[in-house]
Amino acid sequence: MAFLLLALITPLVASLLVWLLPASSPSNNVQGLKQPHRSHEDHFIWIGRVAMSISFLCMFVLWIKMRLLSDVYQFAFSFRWFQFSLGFHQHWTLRIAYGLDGLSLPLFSLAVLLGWIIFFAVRPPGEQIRVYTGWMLLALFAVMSSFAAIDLLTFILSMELTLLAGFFLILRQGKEQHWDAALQFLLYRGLASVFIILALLGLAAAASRGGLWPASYAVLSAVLFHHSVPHIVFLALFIGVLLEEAFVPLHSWFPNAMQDAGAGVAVLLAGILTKTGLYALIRFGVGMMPQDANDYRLLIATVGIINLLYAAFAAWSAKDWRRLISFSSISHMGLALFAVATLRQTGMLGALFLLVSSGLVSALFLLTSEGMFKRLHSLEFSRLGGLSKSMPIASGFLLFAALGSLGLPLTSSFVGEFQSIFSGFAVLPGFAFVALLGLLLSAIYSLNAIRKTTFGPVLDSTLMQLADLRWLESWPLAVLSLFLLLLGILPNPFAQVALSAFHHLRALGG
Amino acid sequence: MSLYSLLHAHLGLTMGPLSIVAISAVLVMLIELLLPTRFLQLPVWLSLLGLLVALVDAFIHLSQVPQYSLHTLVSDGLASILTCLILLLSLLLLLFHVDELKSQTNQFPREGAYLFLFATAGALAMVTAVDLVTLYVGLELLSVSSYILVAMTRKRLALEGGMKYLVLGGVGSALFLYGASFIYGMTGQTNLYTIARMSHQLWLLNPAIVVLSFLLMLCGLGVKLSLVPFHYWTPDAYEGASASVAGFLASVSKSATFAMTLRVLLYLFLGSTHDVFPYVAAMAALTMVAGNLLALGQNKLRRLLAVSSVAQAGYLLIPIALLAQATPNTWPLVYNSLVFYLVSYSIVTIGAFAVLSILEQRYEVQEIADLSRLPRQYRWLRAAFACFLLGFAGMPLTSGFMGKLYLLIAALRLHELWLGVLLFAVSVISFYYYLKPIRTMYQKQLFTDNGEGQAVSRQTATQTVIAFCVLVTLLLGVWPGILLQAFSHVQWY
Repeated sequence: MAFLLLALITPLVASLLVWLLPASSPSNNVQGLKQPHRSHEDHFIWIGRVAMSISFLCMFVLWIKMRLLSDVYQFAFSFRWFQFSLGFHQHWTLRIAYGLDGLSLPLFSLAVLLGWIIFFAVRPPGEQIRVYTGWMLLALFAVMSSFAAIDLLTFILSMELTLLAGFFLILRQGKEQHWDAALQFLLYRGLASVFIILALLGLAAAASRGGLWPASYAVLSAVLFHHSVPHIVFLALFIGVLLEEAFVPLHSWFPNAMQDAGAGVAVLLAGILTKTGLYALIRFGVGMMPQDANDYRLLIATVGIINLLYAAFAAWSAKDWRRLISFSSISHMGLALFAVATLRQTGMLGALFLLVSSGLVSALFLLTSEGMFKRLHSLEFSRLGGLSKSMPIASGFLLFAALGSLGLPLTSSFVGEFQSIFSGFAVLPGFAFVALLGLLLSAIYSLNAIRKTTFGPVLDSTLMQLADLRWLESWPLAVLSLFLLLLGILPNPFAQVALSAFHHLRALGG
Repeated sequence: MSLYSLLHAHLGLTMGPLSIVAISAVLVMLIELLLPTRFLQLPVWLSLLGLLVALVDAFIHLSQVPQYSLHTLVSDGLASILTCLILLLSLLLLLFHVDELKSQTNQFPREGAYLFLFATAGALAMVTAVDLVTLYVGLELLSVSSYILVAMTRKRLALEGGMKYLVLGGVGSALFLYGASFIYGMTGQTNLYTIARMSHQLWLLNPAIVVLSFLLMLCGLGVKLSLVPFHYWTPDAYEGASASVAGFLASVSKSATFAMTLRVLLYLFLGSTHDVFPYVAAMAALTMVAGNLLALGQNKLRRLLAVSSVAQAGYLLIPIALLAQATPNTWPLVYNSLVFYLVSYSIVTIGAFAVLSILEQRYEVQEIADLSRLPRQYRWLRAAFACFLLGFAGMPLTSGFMGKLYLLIAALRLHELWLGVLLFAVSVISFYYYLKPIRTMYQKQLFTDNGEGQAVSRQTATQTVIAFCVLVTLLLGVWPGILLQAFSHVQWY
């Protein structure tokens, strides 16, 4: 409990610290001209680094202390927050409650790991460090807290907080046209959270007994296991998830936001923020409304497959890396959605593996390409070529990321894809067969992009004189690759923790 | 009435704050008349003192058993909580009105001080009275004082706004009175409790007249609340009035009128809630949608806040619309959610207008684009304004979020889910216009202040008000339990 609390609260406290510390006095400039001053806000990023390092260490402790094969929420703690009165002697007591189980721990760890990497790998322009660090820490806290929440209102509040922090991050960090992208992010995800809030309140209302509305996950899933929920609740949740996850046809905010965002924000978006939707679907949809999920499994699978294929084609036709990365992420999430639709333990495990490895792969892609962007100021394929000669290390990481993305054995994506397709063949073989096509496409677009970037003819001589990644730039990439490999070679410890969350699926005959 | 019953009427409890405010209004008026012109601020400070005494009085008696005196005034939960709220809001507004008096640009005469007090007294009467005549007198006292307050700066815009407000407000009062006269005509009573007992019979005998009178009263109050078909005066009045007066219209006047609307409509139409309150739901939906759509195109900050207050009035109407489905068992839900949102909205509004008054006086900010003139070292002011705008939009960690969530829960609980859904859907639209000023404020090309701003004396009072409002906004957003816990002990009716 202490470690979970510590891991959660450090980013929040650090964020408050950043806001409360006085801003470094801007240099006295005339006529609004700013002198680029390199280090006057440097100490802020160190606050972020220290805070996320503490969370990172706590995360390891959590993994060590996690009891396997137990489906109760571990490290749980809660305190009473307030009550909504619903009438005479009817209250809805809401708590701030956190705890982890096999489903949330991997995603929580993904958030912590990527947050930690972000602060070490990305350095925003000098005058933005304070704002960037403050919002980034708040966003990380919010997303970690939405994974670790075990009470409805804690989840809802964290989700809304993610929205707020994400909006300001995109607004302040964007390269160009940031307002449109930020606004789109806000509107789409705002609508998503409206649907999800409605669904969650509907869940609470459906589970209410004698004027008492339950809000804790444990009570909700216990009560709802024996009672069905109106279909509309599940559909609201599903629409919310589609918006939140940027699924086709509601996806346009995501590539746009990614296009304009700085590297750190892009990692946050593609690596973590687009994983919360599927988490909500598994947690609330499958976990609390299994009957509805079963009724709509064909719909879910269809949407999943459409996404897998559409996004793969879109990634294939992408003109630059950012777009490719965003569509590849959507495509992976499509496969994960399909895996969820199988409603089997293997499928869920596959989906979870896909979520984590997609986060890792996207981050690896984004950070490597950011190294190239810093040197070339462009990520369009038409301006790249033959980089393997001048930047062998960067090209190596890029290739590894591509291999991870297409699901090479020994990477964690392979485990995820294999399990998803495997359980798909058992339940929905026709769909699974089409999904195989998607995997093929992912190999095509990844390798195609690699071919255009690292191999192929050198377009002009400037590309030959580029300096390769420095040690400071490459070690975060090495860490990400290490995790990607570790999960692929030794999936078992991870899978054992995760499996404990999916015990109840047996009851569905899964 | 015998002396005995007068002595046992608990007058101190039911009309203590009201009489304190009214008496100080008269006193300040007399003092102002005799005072040499160089004492510009003295009337305001005296008014503040009066309000403070009244607030203390109201606060001390908050936990007393509700009383009913002279068949006219009550001190039930709604009355005492709203009395405290109105006094607090007036106090905040007068506090930043002090700074407005000092400023050179704003030719605000010192008569404003006691007009504020008279308007506050009217508002207090509206929330404590249970008699149609007294309620109407309160409404008119508030309205007439507001008309004058709006037009008082004698700028062209102010005159235009005041005139529009006067004409439409007069129509509103007339409509309300016309509706009430039907009820009086059928029952021969003006006391709400008495009419409530007869309301069922009334509905059975004359449904058409009941509906007619309900609609007339709703429209009349709708003018005062700037609900959508009757909102035309709002942007003009808010634009013309000084910031504190505009804040007064948006917070005190609205709080009092909402409380009165809830009480009057519920009691008069107790026997026909299922049949008449759906009209309120339709009006709430219309106001929410139209208010938000209208606000999308606004470029002036004042008009933006005005139209946004129209949209917010739509949100506030939801609990009243929910009375259609509510039973006495779930009335507390309606009262709680309405008053919680009123508190949240009023505090945020006052904060926003306080920031606006600083911006207007120092940097002559009129339009949203002018916000980029704000120098970068004003980061607290910018943060405060951003906080208020986010509070309006209902972002988490601000009271607006909790308020909207409570409204949604109430709508869900009372089976009018579509109102809650609509509320959240239009809130997403509202993100656009609430965030536009934030975007402008936080654009990168901000400059440092080279003393370009208007040389004004330090606005300590306004800054205090802003700090207080930020604090409350965040506190209620993080820990709404303080207020909700208190509400759960309140005997609303």
